[in-house]
Amino acid sequence: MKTAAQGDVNAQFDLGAMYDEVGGIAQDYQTAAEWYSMAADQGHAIAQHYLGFLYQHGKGVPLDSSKAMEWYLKAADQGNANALFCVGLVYYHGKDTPQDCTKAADCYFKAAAQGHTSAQNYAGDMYCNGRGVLQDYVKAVEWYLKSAYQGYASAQKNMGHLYLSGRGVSQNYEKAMEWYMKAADQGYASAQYCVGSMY
Amino acid sequence: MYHEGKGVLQDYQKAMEWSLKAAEQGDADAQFEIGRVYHEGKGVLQDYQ
Repeated sequence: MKTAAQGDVNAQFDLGAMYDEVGGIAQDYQTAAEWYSMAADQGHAIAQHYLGFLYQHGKGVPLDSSKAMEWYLKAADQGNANALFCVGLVYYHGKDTPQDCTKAADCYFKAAAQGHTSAQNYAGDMYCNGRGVLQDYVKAVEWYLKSAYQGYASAQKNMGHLYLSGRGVSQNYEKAMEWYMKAADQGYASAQYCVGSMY
Repeated sequence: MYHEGKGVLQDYQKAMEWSLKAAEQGDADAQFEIGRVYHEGKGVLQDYQ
């Protein structure tokens, strides 16, 4: 590792050139990917997740969905919540990997249990829509609330929907309005529309 | 310390020098940190043109 790192430094860094006159460091995805790779190869979970992200978006490395998934999975296997969420998204959308809502839900739940707000919201969606799990509005409410209380606008809007329709909770227009407002106050456009439609 | 400007003037160059020392010895956290600095860019105005 030392040799690889040393080689990398000598080969790729011009120490004088990488700083500008104010001592800053310019964004450089390729160099980022190279360093992440070294850390990722040593099992650094966050580096594995970020490297997956760079492969997924073709930033600094050629776009490669399988490599992205490979790295996401390595980080997810270590329990990294962000990577679990990404793996969930890949399984859910099924673009380059066959769609598997059961696996997606499982990943969302694992990330959600660690307090990942987007994953909690998606976990709510899975229960709301019966995707990968049996439809269960009460469980949907549980997950949406965890996310909503953390200030996640989309989950707040979803709580508004459930109070409006009385699914998983007793129908309550005031509470629906309260949740819509919380999301709308954050500048969430679709929640602002919902607030408008309440009048 | 240098990255976060705790107790010293924030100096990305100094931070990078120390991170490189650790990274060259194979320290995964330092390698990750250097990657993150390049990923985000630090202390320079980004040119989006």
